[in-house]
Amino acid sequence: MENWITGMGMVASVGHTLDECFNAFCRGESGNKSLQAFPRERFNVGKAYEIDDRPDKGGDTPGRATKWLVRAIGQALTAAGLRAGQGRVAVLVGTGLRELRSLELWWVEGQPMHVSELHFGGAIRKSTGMRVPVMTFSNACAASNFMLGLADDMLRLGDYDAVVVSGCDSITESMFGLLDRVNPLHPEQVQPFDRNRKGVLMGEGAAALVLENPDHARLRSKGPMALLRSVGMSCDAFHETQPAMEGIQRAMTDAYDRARVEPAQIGLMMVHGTGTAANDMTEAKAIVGLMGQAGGGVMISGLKSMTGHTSGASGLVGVVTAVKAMERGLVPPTLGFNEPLAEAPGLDVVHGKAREARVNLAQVNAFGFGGVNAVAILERSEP
Amino acid sequence: MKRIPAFVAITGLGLEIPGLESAPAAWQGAGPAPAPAEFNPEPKLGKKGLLYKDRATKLALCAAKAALEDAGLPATPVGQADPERFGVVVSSNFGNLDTVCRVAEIIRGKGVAETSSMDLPNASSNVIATTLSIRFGLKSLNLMICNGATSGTDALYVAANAIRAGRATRMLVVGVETDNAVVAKLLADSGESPGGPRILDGAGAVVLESREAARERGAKPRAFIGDYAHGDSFATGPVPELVQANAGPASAWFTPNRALEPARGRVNEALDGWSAGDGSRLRDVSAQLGECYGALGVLQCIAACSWLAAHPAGYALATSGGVWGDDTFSSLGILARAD
Repeated sequence: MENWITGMGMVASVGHTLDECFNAFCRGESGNKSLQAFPRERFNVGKAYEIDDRPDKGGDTPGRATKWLVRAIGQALTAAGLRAGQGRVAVLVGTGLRELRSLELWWVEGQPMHVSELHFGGAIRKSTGMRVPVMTFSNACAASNFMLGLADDMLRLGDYDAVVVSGCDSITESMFGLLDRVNPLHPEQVQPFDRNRKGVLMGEGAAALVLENPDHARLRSKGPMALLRSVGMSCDAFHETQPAMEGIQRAMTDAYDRARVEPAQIGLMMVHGTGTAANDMTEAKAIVGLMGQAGGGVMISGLKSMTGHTSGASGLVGVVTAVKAMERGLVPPTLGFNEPLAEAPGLDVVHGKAREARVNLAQVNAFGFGGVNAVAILERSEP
Repeated sequence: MKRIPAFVAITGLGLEIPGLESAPAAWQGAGPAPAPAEFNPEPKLGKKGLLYKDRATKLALCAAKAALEDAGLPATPVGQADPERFGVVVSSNFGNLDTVCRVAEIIRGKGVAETSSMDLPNASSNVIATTLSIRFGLKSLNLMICNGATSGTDALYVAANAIRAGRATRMLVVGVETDNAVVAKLLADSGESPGGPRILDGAGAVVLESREAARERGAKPRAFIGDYAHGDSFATGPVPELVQANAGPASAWFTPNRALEPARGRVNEALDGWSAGDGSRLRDVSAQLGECYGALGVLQCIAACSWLAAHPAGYALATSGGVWGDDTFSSLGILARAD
């Protein structure tokens, strides 16, 4: 029996709510802008996909990732109608960079920071009023998809009735700078699956959903927005920063096996698509290897062209967007896509404008540093 | 409270705490504080591949290697047991804070051209967990939990779940924290006390596997993972629930650091209200090692296995939380093997 998604939320550089974000995606709007707070002269790259919410223009404030996380979780709980005291609830947070931006501001600028603010438990318990376990995992760019899988297990094992699954990240100067340091191409935008892509740029955001045991949801007279069919997981055990096709395919195959679906049944794939030479080539080869030259006709959407790489949040940003796409019958386009990859010329990358389509099964890929891979499969809920 | 049948076995223990004069299987979480000591991982790990690893990663590698060897499993990718079903959970909060601060400082002072690309892996907090996967060839799920004071206990619960849910047959669980100038300043600026003469600089590791997998390869479980609970206090929360679930008071209660609040207060409240709670059952690992933070739960699990080996009836409670601004607690039963 599949667990239900009963509430969702998102905050990103293109919008403050899930609906704002989804509508912006479908209009092909990008959150790409000039660096808002980092000292420009210290970097080669001048663009990112930041959330433009700093009160002090030119300066930076601590705690922004926490703020968006709390908002996204609040949206998801409101949509689910789930309140403190209802059922056995836990909260999982997947993040790449925790509140390390606050740590940097503390170390470099002397801004205030408490050791407990590195993780998110205190802030979430306070904002939700829920005295429940909160677990913060730092699992690189696959973090929130891993959380979705752990939540699915916790529900299937009967340990909890509902798990709030979430992801968030703000950009750290250290990660942004080191990615800048290692890429001589100095990209100005993220172009997933485009032949002339120049690399990744970071973005900011948070996403959340309520994953719930269907019996518990029915007791609350709540229906599903979508069903979670599976999350497949793997680790390459290969390289600290480079992806490996074998590991990615293993996570995808794990997801298909757990969901009891054939690759050809997937209608929409939210690719990891970071716009780097290595990721997109490896991911495309993995897709073609499992689904055939044309990817079995699967529609491909690269959200990072509009959000930048939201790191630990990016998996769940893809998940809630995929659910919206299935519900609305509209697939967001991939910006900056002009020419297909040499390795996968036949893939159907949705670009130019949003495409109307009925999708029953969607796949969301998330891969992170160290070769951590988590792939989610979602099923449309019949209204 | 989560009922976990005695299904997940603990089959390997490893410790890397510089200056601690004890083998893991003999360490019950008490004794003299570790003497000041150099940490030199090369005799254990060899030189290869260590050059750009941070201290927390090297501590974790040593403890993990010891745990794998203790479990009778290969400490190398070659010949690893069912590698695609062997996963990793690492618990640490302080692991890469020094790298992040150092790189941010370089960028702010001089710009990105002065940074080293060798710092890129260490800027991602999960570097410890993925380094273990590469070193030992562990290809199933790979997780890094950074959840404050309860992290180590939560890591054991999540690792046990991976086995219960059939994602993995074996899980390597490591708890590691490290002490450096960034950590010391962060605590001081947070207004928090070290909770002992110093804070932990070290790692503990355990190998978990399904009872079936252990039996198939003839490995003898040291103990089993029991129930997990989470709550605001011990008087009404995790401890009474676990005591009830395990039908009687624990043989040993491994408490969080009783030199720090609110941990001390909550433990005392529980002792007042819990009739079976005489103080002789309490074990405080932090009194020996200093505050262990994200490593505590894993270290308690190791100490509990050793304690149960000497006191083979009953079970131990491993509890963490309630320090350095965290006000909740996680608890896990560690059950003696029934043979």
